[in-house]
Amino acid sequence: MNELTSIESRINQYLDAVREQLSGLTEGEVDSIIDDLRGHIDAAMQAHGDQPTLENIEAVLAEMDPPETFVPDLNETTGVVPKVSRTAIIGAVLLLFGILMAIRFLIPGITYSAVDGITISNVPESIRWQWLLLVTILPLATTILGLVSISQIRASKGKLMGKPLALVDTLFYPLLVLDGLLIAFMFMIIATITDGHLALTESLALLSYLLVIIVDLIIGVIAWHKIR
Amino acid sequence: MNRWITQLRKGLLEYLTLNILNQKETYGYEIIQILNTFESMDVTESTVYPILARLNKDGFAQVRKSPSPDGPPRRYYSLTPKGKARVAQMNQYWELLNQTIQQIRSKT
Repeated sequence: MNELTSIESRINQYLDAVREQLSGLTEGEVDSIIDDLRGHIDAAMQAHGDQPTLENIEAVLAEMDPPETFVPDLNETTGVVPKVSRTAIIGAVLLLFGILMAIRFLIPGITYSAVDGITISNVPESIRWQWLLLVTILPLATTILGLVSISQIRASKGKLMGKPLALVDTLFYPLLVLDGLLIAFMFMIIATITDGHLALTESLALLSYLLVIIVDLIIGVIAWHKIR
Repeated sequence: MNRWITQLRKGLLEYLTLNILNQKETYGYEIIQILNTFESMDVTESTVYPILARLNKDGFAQVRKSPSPDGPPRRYYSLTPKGKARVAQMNQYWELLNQTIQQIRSKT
């Protein structure tokens, strides 16, 4: 790649980053701002009397506003006050409901009111399958609602907000499954290499949990950057 | 910087931009340069270009593209008749506002 291509590529990278921030404006307004910024970069280069080198372009871009400062104040520009996505809210409610049901279903020793008094036991067999069905459907519904709300928010051009909530809806259950698989895999390895050594097993188990948290964080951050 | 100064500048920026365009046809970079010659106005691209885009969208300003030897065509802004009427109205109101401020300040 020659330097001229690199320069164009760097300028376009900046302009694309700005364009991403202008989601609340009309297409015409966005194009207008981007064209003005392109002209601004050229005019700034001329004003500096600089040759168009990658270094000089970087210097000009460093003097300009960072892309995130271009986020429009929608209330001011369009009179539209963005609302939190209802789909994301419903997803969050389902998520909480799913967690509560899972707790009720999975944790033994929860009191259950039977006809003959209070029993300390698991959930009775008769309704266990109904719950199991719900516990499997709820995560699926939550994840789908999360994905739908992300696309709705992105398509709303700033009229809807709540991307973090939508992301939590989308990622919570898939990450939970991933965490379960990772921990199961790590524990299999730990069981093989520690040969019953308790202290070592505990240390490696702790390390596994940390690793899982780090993986979750990395996936979360990558996903956030993708949807911003 | 104090929040009230930022808010006040923000409110004034459209008015000042319209007045610059009322004097001559010009391009975004030059508008920023003109505004920044005044110490009280410290403006950047992220504040001026959205205003120009909005003025254009609302029919107060129009754009003429002129070829540039060093890059893409330069975009020159000028006021439309609607924009000229708006700036005249704004100037009139500004005078009234200014008088009011002076009167209030002289009484206190």
